[in-house]
Amino acid sequence: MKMLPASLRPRNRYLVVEVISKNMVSREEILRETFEAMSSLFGDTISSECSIRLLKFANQKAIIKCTHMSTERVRAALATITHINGQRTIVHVVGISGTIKGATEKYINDI
Amino acid sequence: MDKNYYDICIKYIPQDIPSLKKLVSLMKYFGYKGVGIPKIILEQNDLPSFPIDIIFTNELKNTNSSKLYSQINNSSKKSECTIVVGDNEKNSRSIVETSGVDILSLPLDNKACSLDYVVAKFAADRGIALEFDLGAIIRYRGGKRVLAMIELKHRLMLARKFNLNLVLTTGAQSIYDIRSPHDLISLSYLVGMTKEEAINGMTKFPNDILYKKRNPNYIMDDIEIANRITEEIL
Repeated sequence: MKMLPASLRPRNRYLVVEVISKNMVSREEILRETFEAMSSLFGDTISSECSIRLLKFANQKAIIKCTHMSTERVRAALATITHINGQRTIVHVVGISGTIKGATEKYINDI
Repeated sequence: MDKNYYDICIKYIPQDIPSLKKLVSLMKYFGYKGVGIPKIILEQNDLPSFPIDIIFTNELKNTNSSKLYSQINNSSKKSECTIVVGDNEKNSRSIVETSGVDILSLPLDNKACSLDYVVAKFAADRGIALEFDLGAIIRYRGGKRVLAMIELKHRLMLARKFNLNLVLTTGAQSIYDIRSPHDLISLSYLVGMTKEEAINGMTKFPNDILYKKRNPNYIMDDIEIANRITEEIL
């Protein structure tokens, strides 16, 4: 099947995030907290418009995909995460890229 | 993003050198140029050198209106930045009428501490900055966060009207409350702030406060000693 032209493809952004906590955090926990923070701050309607997906998670670093218009919203929601599994946590956005390849090469090597 | 970001209003008090080092390394990792620490139990002379600028601030709480001037005067001699917490409208009015105050802090969880037109105008005229605590959006949930965001929007509206300087902060009470400057910019969008206003709140206004305190030639706004005559010349 022929690929969509660049002008018709959805524009995404890939946020490389790092979890700073005393304990190790699992993929399910970070995903649950991200969705909870999004729906608490913006509600379910706007959260759905952001199209958040957790693509990769390893070594307390993750790549989160969202639409290019919702980058700042996702970043704000991630900043409001204070606890994961009862432990104090910071979810720090290391960087943002337009492609998974760019995000991986620029910000993480071990994922 | 190579700007001189400062967070000079954090509430976290490091108890010893390792906790201070941990705070400093985290702030440096997040891209801050300097951090304001309320007070420290250790002697300031014993401190090792740090990769970022450490600013010793003094936060005055429960100030008595009659003793306010002497308290602020003592504080401004000891610290590089004087932050005064306004407990109620009357107290806030007294604070902005007193010289030597650098930052006015009005807690977001107290309805009596709401910013009004008079305080905003006096503060703007006297060059007193207002603490803009985005940590409330991080720490609070539900109705409390909604009320805090309403108050922040109200303060932003008054700040724009009277050209009041807003100093952005996380108001961190622990190192886990600290957020990177870009995260604070993203949070500031939620209350209607522009990117430029947010960056100024972390770069220009804290730098202005430090410039006033650290420059020996500074007298007041637009007045500085150009050439100091040394004793040798005399």
